[in-house]
Amino acid sequence: MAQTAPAPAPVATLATEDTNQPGIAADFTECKRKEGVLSVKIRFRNVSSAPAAVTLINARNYEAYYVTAANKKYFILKDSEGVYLTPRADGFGSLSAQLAPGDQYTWWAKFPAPPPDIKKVTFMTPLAPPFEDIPITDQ
Amino acid sequence: MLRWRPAVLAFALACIPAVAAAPGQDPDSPEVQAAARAALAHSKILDIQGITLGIEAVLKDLGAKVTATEIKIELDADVLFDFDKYTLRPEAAETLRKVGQAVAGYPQAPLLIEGYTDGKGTHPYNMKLSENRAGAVKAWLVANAGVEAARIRTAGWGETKPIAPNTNPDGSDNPQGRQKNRRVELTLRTK
Repeated sequence: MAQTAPAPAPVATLATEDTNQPGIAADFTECKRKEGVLSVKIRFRNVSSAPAAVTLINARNYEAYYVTAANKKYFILKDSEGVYLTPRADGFGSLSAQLAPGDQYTWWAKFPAPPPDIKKVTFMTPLAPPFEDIPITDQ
Repeated sequence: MLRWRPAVLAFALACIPAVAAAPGQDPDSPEVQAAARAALAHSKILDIQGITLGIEAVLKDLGAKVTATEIKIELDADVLFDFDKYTLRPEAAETLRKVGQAVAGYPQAPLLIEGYTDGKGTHPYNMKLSENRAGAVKAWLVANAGVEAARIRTAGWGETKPIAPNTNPDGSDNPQGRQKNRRVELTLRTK
């Protein structure tokens, strides 16, 4: 189970989508390019008045999360041992968070960055409609 | 002594992460950032076929010649410009929009735009006209198709590189040949 944080810190939101998980909204909060790596953060919030769960990874479906730009599709980076550079799933290949009303959980992942002349990307997730035209911040 | 049944053992093993320990969970930590840079060497990036096919359709519409290293698009100057002018005609936009789509499909490829005239007029005049026409196409692509100016080089060759005879063997005018010579060529270096 992922750790959650009760106090919503004021983080800039690049885009917000409703998710297919009841009571959960998703804010795209970071899309940063540095040294060839694209870092992405999404904050999941319980916007309902009851406890809610969000299942981020199910059966190790890491490749359901990807970035598209121009005619390319970029998948989450893996280290030399095959570990995806994103919060690790449990032994069953799942990652989920239980959120009390108002709680939030920030998920992140590292992708290969598109070329420097690409300034916006689309982010695909199984939990929500595509986050389109997300601006990249270069560092 | 506790004896494990195979099914219980399998269940217990399933609870242990199947992969080596992930780097720290703070995405901004130096450890995670270093791991990400190292992982770039074997990153997975796929072509999106639908979009590629879209570009192929655009290239076909433009009559582009595609080789392993470059894409060459030849545009009829009479479609782009009025006679003796280097201001783009409104009708040119449709063709140039397709050019912009094709160029956008290769965001890293340098683009060369070359203007040519027919054999009428003086050499200095034709050189200037062809340079200006290449420049007008560049300006349109930068302003309307989002192509970065730094990717584009332009050149004007005037009447010096005809692809058809400007005159017939008997010395008379060859309007069809001259029309072929009035052109703008775009070369996208894809490799």
